[in-house]
Amino acid sequence: MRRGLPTWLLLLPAVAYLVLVFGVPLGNTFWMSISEPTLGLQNFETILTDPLYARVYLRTVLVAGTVTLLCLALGYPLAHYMARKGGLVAGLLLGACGLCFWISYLVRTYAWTVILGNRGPVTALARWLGMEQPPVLLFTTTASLIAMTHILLPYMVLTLYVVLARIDANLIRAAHIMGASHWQAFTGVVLPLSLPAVVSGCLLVFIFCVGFYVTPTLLGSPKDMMISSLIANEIETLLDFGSASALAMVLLAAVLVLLAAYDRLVGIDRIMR
Amino acid sequence: MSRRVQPQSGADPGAPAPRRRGLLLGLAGALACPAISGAQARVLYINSQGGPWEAAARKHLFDPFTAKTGIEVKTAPGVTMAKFAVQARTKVYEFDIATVGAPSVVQGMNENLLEPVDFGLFNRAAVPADLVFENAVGNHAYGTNICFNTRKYPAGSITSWRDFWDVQRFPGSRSLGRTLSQTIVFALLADGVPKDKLYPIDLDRAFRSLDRIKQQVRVWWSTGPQIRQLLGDGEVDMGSVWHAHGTALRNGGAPVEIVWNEFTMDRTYWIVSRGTPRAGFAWEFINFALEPERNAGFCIDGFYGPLNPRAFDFITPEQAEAMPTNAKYAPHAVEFDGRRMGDVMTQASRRFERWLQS
Repeated sequence: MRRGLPTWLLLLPAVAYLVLVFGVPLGNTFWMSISEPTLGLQNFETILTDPLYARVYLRTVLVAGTVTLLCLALGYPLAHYMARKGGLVAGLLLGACGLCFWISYLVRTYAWTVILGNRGPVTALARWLGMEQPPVLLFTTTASLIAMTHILLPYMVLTLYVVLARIDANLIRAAHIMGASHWQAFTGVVLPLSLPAVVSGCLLVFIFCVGFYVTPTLLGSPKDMMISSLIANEIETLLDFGSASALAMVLLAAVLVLLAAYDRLVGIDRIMR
Repeated sequence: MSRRVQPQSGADPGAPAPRRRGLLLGLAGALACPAISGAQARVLYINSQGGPWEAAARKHLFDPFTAKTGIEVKTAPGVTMAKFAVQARTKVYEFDIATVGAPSVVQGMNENLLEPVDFGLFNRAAVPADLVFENAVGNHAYGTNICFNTRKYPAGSITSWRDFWDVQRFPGSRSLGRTLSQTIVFALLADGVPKDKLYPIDLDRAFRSLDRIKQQVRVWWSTGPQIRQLLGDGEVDMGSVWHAHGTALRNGGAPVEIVWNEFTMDRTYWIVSRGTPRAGFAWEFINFALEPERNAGFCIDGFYGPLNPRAFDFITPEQAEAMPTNAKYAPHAVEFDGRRMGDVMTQASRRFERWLQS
């Protein structure tokens, strides 16, 4: 009997590609973080001891966490509705979500400056309702949270929808036959089955959000600094590749810790299902 | 970085280049830029700022240069010194030359990112001596002026940075630039430092002055179109504005006044990325760009002030009204000391990030 090629060979092109375009630059970034300007851990020492960095990391995590929760709160009901409704309605809503991906997030960010600005519809509505001093939204943390939630919501909805749509309707029907109310059927059947999707949706949104920088810079208050804008500043303004690399490495480590926690809780392979 | 280079005309260009750290970047860079292999082709890559800059440069510099020399000009977007740094490390060149401000020239010299001027190719006799540095040649200038909304404040009411800082007399929201080399100067002027006593920069005093206006600054802008939109839409009532964007706003009918007092003059220089194989084309091009008629055409369409004084022979008095290098504005202009400003920039930038957070 002829033995087939070992299966790992099939992986080789993909692995080689990843090593080349991802592993090498990553290794290089790591090397810069410990070698510039001189060999040693001084870049990490600065980052871990300087309260500025700690504060910005903390703010980044808080902002990303808030956006993730907002996306979940808005996205879950929508995905659930689409999955149960099916047919044309689901198709249209799915299309609307997908459409968002076709518009650059920069354009969407600028659109929010118009919508929230003092000549925009929100201010006009407030004036029409008789408010003397319309609320100032632009250049506040609220504005950047709104825009980031808007930009990241489709990721959450699509991730949830894929799983929710595959839940066998007979399971829910069976729950009803056994006397479960709508709420009981939801909490007892749908929610547990969709939990892995909730976790992977949250993870996806959180990780994207941690890297955001244009949106908070353009819409947020001057204090709304995310870690990526600090990294950009280290490179663009200060040409300090060492500090920037170290900042990026710490960010990467934080995300990896998160992934590891997810792996312990749910199992990383469940994202793929 | 401790290497400091004095920007002075014709200083020794043969100083040894400090060895750059060996990096794996070369391989990754080479893979990322397959388009830049044809070294034989007569092409020059110029870092472009896009928009009106590129339109003016294409019409008055690139196309006529190609017609004259046969050297094709291609553009690459995104002017940052970080790219110069990466190019000098990897020896992979996305572009060969760019126009940047004095602080960037000093930074580029300190970090050894720039080609020295090749006086065999560059004709230094054609331009005033104060435009030519060891690694850079001045081309044009832009002003950063106070601009304010004339619906909010009477015309002619705000005339200085002291007024701009006076939140009692002129209440309202403001915007200042993240370009610290400018904002620091404004803060010092507002605090009463005479414009001939700005250097050496007293950072403590500058930040104390900024403290006084922090609450009124709604946005720290970073791009010209951003401040144009902020002021044009009335999101802020006054701001520091690059003169070209103030002019564009006013030409578009916005109720905006441009103050031609205490404006900073940023001279912009041609620089050549260190080690590029096309440096010869670059100096030939820079010669061409500084011809009076070329310099004038580029500055008229690009909304700049020409640095070659003979360019004004090709500029009408009306056009010169909006040019910071106009001789009649000279007594009100604040010139930069690029080197001494460059000395404090790293410290100022780190401090600014902290200050914003506090």
